[in-house]
Amino acid sequence: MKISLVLPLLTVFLLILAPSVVSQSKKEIRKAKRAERKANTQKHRSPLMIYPVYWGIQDTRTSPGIYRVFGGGAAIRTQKNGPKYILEHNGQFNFGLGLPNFDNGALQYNTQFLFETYYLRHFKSNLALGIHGSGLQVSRITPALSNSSFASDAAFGLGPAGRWSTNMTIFKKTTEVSITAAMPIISYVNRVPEFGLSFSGTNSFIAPIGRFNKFSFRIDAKRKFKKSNENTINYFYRWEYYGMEEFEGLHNLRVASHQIGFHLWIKKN
Amino acid sequence: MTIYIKILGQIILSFSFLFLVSCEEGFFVEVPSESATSIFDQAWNFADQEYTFFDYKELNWDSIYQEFRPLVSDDMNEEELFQVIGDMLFLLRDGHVNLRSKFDRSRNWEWYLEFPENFNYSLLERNYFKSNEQFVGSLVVMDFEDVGYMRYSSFSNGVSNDDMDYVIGKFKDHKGLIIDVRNNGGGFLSNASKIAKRFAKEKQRVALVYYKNGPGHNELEGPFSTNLTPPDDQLLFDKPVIVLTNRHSYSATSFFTQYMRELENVTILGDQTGGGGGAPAFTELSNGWELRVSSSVTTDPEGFNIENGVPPDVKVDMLKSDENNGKDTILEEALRLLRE
Repeated sequence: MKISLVLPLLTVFLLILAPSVVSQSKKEIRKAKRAERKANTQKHRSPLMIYPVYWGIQDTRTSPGIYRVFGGGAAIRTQKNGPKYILEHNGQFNFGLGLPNFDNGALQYNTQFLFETYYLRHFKSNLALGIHGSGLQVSRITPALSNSSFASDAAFGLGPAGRWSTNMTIFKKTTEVSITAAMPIISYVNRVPEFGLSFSGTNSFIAPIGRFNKFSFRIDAKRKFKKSNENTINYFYRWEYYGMEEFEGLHNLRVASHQIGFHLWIKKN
Repeated sequence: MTIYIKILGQIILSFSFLFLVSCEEGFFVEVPSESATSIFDQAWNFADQEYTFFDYKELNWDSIYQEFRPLVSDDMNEEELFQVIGDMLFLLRDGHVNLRSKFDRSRNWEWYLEFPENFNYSLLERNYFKSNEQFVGSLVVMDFEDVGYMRYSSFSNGVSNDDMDYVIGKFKDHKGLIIDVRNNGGGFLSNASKIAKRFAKEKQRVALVYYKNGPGHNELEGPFSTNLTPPDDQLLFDKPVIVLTNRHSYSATSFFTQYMRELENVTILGDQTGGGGGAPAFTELSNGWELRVSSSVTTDPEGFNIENGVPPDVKVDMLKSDENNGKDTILEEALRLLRE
């Protein structure tokens, strides 16, 4: 009698309750893993930073030459670095004075706004791959050119990105060096080209890579503060290039910029 | 101290790296030379791609190239080169086409020099204003008792809503208003609209504009309508208006005259305006010279091109005999018409 009761109860336990117990333990494992990931995830925020910028511009409507722009910039960044992924936002503004590389050319005032987001999954221990979205707005004002004084490029792009990082010793200190590269494969571009009538010359189009080419790479060198293991100082160099053929080849815009500076990563709790 | 030296070392290292990688001219297309032949070609190309009146003026720009290109050689000096390019651009017969260097500005001013002057400000000052004129902002205002007079000498000079409110308020009970834009060489189009809309009774289309959007001579986009909308919160003038024009009324003044010509209570009196119906686009050549050419087309709502000027409703020239007797024939006729 007892055996006949035990067997059905055991069957019920095995068929119904045991999986839930097992499931419970899986959930706990997952929960523990999540907690572990959370513990290993680092969130950093970089407050406003200021740095010098150099960039060169050429628009070949009649090819006056290259404008060399010297200026400065400021940026704010945030980064979430988990065991599986990196999520980074970067917003920056640059202003510069453009000097032509030919005699008696007019002065140019340049502004750049850039917002970009990286979502990278750790692929190998020192390699992360993912996607990158960016919005770039550049205005060039040459007051001497009257009706043609204003030109601008706005480009919103989406494409792959990657980051390679390693630790090395620089100036006797352990430094995490990383190289981040991104390249939109499709962009929405809005332009007011140089040397036309600024108030009428807006062109908007969706441009795949080939028509609108944009590349950027950034080298970061991070090292920890002495007093804190949480916060880091980050030296960086960023190079960005974009160019396009437009208006049946009349506007062969080329822009390449260089930024160099440093900023602080402050850990968020 | 050591730490600062290290930081300085790192900064110097970084800047050295910046210097090394800043040689990206390889990505840029070739920068044209500053040779005379290159400068000539740049000027010809810019006009070829941007100028909008080749067909309207029946000009063969390729033939003109064949005519002038052999005159250019790389051993000529910059004044000689300037002369050749200036002579070539002269054929466009356009006051909006200029080449500017540090030593001269090429131009074609035949659009007014070949016609009667039809204006003498000294005569107005001595025989009509007699120091009774008012200066309201950039406007010269004179009260001829029953007729108001307003002179606007340049659309480059700002005119405020308060200025216009004052003038309209002052002359609202007069028989009419004379707007004298003779010898007004143009300026900002925004000022043309700002003044003209005070005389519109309702929203009205007054011009059509086409813009260059490709390298072909006839690649234009448009038409885009220019409309005058009477402002709700500003004074309007609903009495008869006469606009005085001459051949030296150019560019924005031609636009203003065209806008006014479309309004029912407005009469254009004097000579045809000088034209200048294409807004100029500017560029720089690789030796720093600045070049501008007309890069749009403006017509009236029926399609009449105003590049060569806006014709008057009443054609009146200043008579030499009147001028010798201290009379402005055009102003006298305007006063007579408004007093009728």
